[in-house]
Amino acid sequence: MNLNSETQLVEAAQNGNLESFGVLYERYHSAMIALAYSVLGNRDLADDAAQETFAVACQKIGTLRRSDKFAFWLAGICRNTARNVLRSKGKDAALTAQSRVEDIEMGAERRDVIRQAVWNLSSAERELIVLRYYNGFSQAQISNVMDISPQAVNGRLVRAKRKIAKYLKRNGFTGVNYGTDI
Amino acid sequence: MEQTFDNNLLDEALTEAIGSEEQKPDFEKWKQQHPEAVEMLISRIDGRSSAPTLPLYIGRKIMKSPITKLAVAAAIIIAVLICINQFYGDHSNVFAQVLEQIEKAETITWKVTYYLQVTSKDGKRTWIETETRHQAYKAPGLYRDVHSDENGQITYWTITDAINMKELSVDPEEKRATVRELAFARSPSGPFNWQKEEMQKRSLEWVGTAETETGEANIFRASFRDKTSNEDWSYDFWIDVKTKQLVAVQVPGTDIYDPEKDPARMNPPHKDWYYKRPICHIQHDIIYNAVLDESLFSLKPPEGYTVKVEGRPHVTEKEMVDYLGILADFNNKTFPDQLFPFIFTSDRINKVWDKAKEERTAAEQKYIETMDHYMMAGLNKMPTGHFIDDHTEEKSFRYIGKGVKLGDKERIVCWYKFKGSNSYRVVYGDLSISNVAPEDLPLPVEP
Repeated sequence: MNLNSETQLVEAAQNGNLESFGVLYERYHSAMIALAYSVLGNRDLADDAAQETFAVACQKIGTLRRSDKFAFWLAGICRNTARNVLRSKGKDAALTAQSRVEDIEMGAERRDVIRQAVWNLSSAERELIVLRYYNGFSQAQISNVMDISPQAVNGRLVRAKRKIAKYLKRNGFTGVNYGTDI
Repeated sequence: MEQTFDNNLLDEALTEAIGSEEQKPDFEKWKQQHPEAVEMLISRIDGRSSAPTLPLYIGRKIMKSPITKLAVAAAIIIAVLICINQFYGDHSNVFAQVLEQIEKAETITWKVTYYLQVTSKDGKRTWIETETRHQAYKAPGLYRDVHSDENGQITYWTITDAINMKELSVDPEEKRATVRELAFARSPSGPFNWQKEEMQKRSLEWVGTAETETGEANIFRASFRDKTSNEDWSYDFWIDVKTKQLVAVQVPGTDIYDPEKDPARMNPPHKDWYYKRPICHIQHDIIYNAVLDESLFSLKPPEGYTVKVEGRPHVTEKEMVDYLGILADFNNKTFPDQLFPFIFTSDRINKVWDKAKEERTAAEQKYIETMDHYMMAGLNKMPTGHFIDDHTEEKSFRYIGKGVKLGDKERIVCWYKFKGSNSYRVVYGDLSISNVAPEDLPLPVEP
């Protein structure tokens, strides 16, 4: 990623250049959906939250002091926005979660159990996993959004995946080795 | 030692469980869905400076009735239009470079700060309110006008196509948009037309320099006697020393009103106000050829908004005749001396506006209400002017009402010929109308 280019884009957007903001929108659109999904667990709501994230960013971009931290700043807005959505959709969100549990109890698809394993992680770990697997973001992209080094991204990913593997093992995923033989 | 898990298999499982097909970002759609956010971003293009410490003109009309800010704003615009047309005078061709940059600009953005003198209901307190709008122009003939509240939140904006005479106004809070055809619009050739004319036609005096966000500006003043109000008046033009660009205009100039020295500026505001008088306005932070997105000037309502469509406003014959009667009633039951270029002096109108509603006569109150009504109806002229433009043959309107008493059945107030008609319509002092052949009119008419 060309950092200089991004700081220039951010600074241009801060000066009211809509086109520059559009480039940033396209650059981080998917990442924000993924991030919101890690909070909401619902793709439609995640999409709404991501759109709202950019609306807030558009209005607050003048408050961003470090243009090289745009992605991290945007991610912060996204987390808050998604949490607000979660609060406002509390009942629905709870129902969705309940449905997941019921699906598991009914022996439904394995992906539901895997999702449950992901949602069993801490929010930071869940963010990381979702960013990595929602649209296959690279470690470099994730490090930019989370403002941590690519090495740290890698280390945290490994730890989070171990936790997922443990969860899967506890929940009976022993017939096929998903890394549950720890 | 822990056995490492099957990384590839877990990757596949995680991708299958939470992976998603990438959704292609659609910024155009996002812009449509978030017009308020776009507005906020675009407003930054004008620079982050606050208004410079100089003000500008608005008009001399006093508004006493507690009408909305919208009404105040509309009055401001109309007052400017009315006054501008009367302020032609001496020639000055000093600023060719300034004028050329205005005329050749593909885009211009600027802010306008209005200064309103507010009086409390008990009439004992006055204070100053300011309102700043963000405006932009894109050639040919497209304008943006963004209004914000005292907290900087956008309350509404308009996009005007001055060539096709259409306007989109958007209320983001209510999610409402109105598309209307216009009876009048700003100049299709771009903004600052009256400023250009004033700079060309008046003698300008250099009165000093001032610091701006972009450098230093020379201030030139046009001073003159306002024929309408019979008062001294002035404009201050700020010209950037280096770029020779017009960067600010203050009306009236600081010799007439200086917002930095107005004692009322320190007075605290009060929630109960009785009337607001526009006393000054400043166009400032004028920027030329900024890159502006096409969508900023789109006349397409934002998605999800309730859309109202309005046709072009008209003045019917009955409304025009009723208006003449209201004028006569206001003028001691006598038709005024003239209809053009102005009917009554602003001083006379201001005296009525200055009165409390209960102190006005019925005729005065009716006149005020009528003025307010037409001011808010999207008309830039008084009803007679619009009626003439829309419905009558060119140069067929003739006013001879000077001294005619309201109710006089015999004396003629005016006549005109409808477009395509052979006969003339004659309005009498009792507001009755009859059809009359050209040869039967008391004065000859043009062939």
